[in-house]
Amino acid sequence: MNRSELIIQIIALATLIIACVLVWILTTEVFHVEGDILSVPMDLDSESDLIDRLYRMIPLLCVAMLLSIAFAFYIEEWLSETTWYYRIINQHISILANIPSLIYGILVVCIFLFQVGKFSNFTLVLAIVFLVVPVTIQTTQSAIRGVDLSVREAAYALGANRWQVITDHVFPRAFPKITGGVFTVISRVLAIAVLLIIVCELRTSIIQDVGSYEISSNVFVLISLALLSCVLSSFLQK
Amino acid sequence: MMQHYLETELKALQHQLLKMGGIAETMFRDAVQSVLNRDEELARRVIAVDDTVDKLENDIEARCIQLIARHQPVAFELRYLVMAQKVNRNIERLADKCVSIARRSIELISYPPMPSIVDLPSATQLIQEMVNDAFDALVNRNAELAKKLRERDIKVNETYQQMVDELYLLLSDQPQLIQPGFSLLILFRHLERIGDLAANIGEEVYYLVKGEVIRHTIIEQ
Amino acid sequence: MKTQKKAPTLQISGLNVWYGENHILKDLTFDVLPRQVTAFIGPSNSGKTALVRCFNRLNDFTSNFKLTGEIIFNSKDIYSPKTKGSDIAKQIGMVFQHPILFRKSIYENVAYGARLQSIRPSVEQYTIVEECLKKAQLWHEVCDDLQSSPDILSNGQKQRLCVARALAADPELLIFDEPCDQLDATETPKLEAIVLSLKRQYPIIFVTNKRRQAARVSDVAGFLYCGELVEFGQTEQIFTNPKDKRTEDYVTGRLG
Repeated sequence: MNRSELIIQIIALATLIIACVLVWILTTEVFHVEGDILSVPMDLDSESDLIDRLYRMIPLLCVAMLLSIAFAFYIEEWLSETTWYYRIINQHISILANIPSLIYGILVVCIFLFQVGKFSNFTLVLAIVFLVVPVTIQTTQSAIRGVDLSVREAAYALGANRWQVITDHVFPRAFPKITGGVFTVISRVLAIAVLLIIVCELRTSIIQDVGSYEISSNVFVLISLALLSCVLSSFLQK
Repeated sequence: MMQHYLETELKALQHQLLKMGGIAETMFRDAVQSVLNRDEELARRVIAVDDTVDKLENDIEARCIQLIARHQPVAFELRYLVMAQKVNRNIERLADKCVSIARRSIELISYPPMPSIVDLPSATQLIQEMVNDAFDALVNRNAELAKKLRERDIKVNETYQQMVDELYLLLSDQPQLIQPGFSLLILFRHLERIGDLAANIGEEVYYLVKGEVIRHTIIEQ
Repeated sequence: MKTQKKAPTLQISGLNVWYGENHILKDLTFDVLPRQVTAFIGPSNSGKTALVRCFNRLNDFTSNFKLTGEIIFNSKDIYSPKTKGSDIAKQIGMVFQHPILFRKSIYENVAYGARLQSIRPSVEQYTIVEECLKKAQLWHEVCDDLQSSPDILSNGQKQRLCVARALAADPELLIFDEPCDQLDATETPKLEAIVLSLKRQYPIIFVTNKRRQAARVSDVAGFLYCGELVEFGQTEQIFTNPKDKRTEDYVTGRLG
């Protein structure tokens, strides 16, 4: 690992932390105010309401995946691999995609459901974006990189422009892998949805029995450690 | 096809060789005619044509080298190119001999006609046929015809010896003819050499077809 | 050989190429003339491929590629900021070391070259495909399977299909980059024959690491060694009377 690589990683991590803090502030301070369009508090007693909300997330999910695929094509085909912004974006994606979906789920459940106590649409949107976007981008990227360079060169040598090369050759060849990536993402999302539904039921019964519930600080320590090891692993894999 | 390509090149080479051979044949016929008919103009024409032959020789040689360097031929093609170079050289020497005959012819014309002691027309006829057959053998890749040329060369050598003997007798009788007699002697010698060259070409053609060197081997009768 | 004066197709002057820190090509100057096969020989890593990839701007996709000097192609500067890379590539056909085919039918592979010239599927396009396959001496072998996948073809046939595809794009210069590297002994002469038959219509640049092949097919040859154009001249002269010691060593097989 050379020095410039290290600098890029540190910058990527720093921006990511800043972004997370911003998201935290947004979700806890700004958007949980009652009456806000985005933060209609959920009637936690009704399970069907949660499922209803989850169904409504499906279009968003599709849009997020399509945009991620488009974005992956953009960074792979138009950005040069040597530029610093390509490298930072790449680092972001690899850190985020490295985090297991379970941790996302637990974060959503612990923080937004138990700690904050309010569960808004915005929270769900955010959860989906974090869950879907990095992984889709990463699998699409690897699918694009998997297309043999020689095929591109053959097309370029015939006088095809970048757009023709992508639509005629790169996309058709990468398509099976991209679809594979999409299914991976769908499985992750469904897993989280199941987790949410189960936790929702549990919480209802806990609150009915005990009255209130506090997450122990050990959970946060463990989640922090898990996140840290994810970051480290994505650093060292480079 | 690549082989095909070299084949066309070899055909072109053969064409050039035969063109040169044709010129040499004509030179020989003309040189002999100039001797027999005391035609000085014809003799001068023979001398003039020699430049063309020299140029062709250089061209063919360059072509052979080029083909060897580029295609690194083997088997028949290699033999062909080796043969072509030697035949090329032999034809060029044949043409040189014709020029020498033409020069002697011009000398002889400046003297009064010699009494016709020997049967020059039939002797030259013999050699002419040898030269023709040598080129025929080359075109048709006829090994037998080529091999026979050696036997025919022996006959030419015998005829040459007879002619020299007859000339000797004549000059002993009429010593005043010594000057044209010497030119004639040299002319005979050139004719005999042309027979040798035709036989050489035959040997090369035999090598081309059979891949066997028969030069300097004993001729079975 | 006729020495009539012909306007050069490519004029290269003072060409220097770097890949990052590596100085790949060092101060090359030469002309490529029409109706001739210009071969580049040299050991591997001597810069042959890097050189020909400058002509159709394929090097643009190599990171840290840097070029100085001038390449004039049909009186246009290939690397002037006004020239579009894909426009240059359209005019230069290239056949690579490996036969690279698209996942399309045999017909569509060839037609792709024509399609990039905005020739839509039509009788005209079909005529072009047929003509190009004939020029690549492949028509009789594939005319019954035009709609099948090129996977059924042998390596040599695939490479000839690549030639047909390059021809369908109506190029003004053809580049062959070690086209026979993956071919067997029976296919190589076929490809060489195609090159020789095409040179009447297109100027051809032929890169090879086989000396004998360069000797057979080319009219003009250049010897590249460690990025230097050691010698450039008539093939006969290179192979019979090389001027430079290194060329002599290479063509006789002592070097590389």
